[in-house]
Amino acid sequence: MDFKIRRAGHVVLRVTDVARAKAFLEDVIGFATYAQAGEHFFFLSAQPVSNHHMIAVRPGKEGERLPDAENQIGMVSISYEVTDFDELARIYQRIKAFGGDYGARILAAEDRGHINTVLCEDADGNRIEFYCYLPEDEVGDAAPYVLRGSAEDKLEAAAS
Amino acid sequence: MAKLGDMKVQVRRTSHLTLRCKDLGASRGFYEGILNLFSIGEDERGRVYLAGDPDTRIPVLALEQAEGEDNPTPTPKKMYGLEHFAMEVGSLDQLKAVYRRFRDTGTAIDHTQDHGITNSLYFIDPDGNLIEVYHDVPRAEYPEPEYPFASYGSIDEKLEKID
Repeated sequence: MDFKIRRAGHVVLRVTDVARAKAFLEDVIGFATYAQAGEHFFFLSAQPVSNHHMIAVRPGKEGERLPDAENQIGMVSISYEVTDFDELARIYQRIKAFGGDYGARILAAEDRGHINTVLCEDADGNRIEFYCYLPEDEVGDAAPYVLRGSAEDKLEAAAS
Repeated sequence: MAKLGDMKVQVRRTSHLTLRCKDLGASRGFYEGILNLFSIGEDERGRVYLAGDPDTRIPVLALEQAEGEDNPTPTPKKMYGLEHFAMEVGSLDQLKAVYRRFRDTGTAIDHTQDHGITNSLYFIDPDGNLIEVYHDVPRAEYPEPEYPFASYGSIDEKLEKID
């Protein structure tokens, strides 16, 4: 028998402040906590029927190095798909309006051919991206993933 | 002014992890050769998107080439940030096939683990990242439904057994 990777499941974050990281993911991004291991290790999902956890947060240890997403070798960001552009605009708006309360901010919003993306950074510098696929008539002959420009104006217009 | 409770949102699915690689060619060769991933696209920066099926549009990994020298390298479980990333296969038999692929190619497995909710195999990729491949245990078979997330030890023997 051979095998096939059928999907991405989850990522685990080691954070400096578990309560803040968990609250950001719940309050702003819409994840909910469905399980925990010990006192400080939480498992969150937005689709609990199909995936028991899409992200988990646990404390790191004081003195460990923080993410350096611009330079480090290794894990740069984790991406989540949302249903459509309107949903992406809502996520964008929520992070923009409330992310600061949790130390999070928007880094970029891009039109990349068949997808539009919103990249944010949490209080520790972890990068989380959200994206949606565009309807075919909006993609045209654009090459998948290749940068077409900023998506910021479109996201602002949709959110207002 | 909008309130936090307005405009509910719901993420649809976990998509790809982006990895910055010391040697993009080597990392791509590893993921294509060992984990049966396929390239489904490439952007203007040379970032390559990989998926488990050449015909899907949903990637599981994106790989990009590091620039410069002396970039910090991963020390899994000894740094803040993204600790490990998990990808799913469809059955225990498929996870056994992953296990055999590692054994047959002389690729190191970091450890295996019965998590109650998953059977999992962990490895360190060419850049030092901790990556998990797992299959889901059916909910009816959870050993402790009240506390489903747990660690019940190695499953090396279970994965070595060929039915």
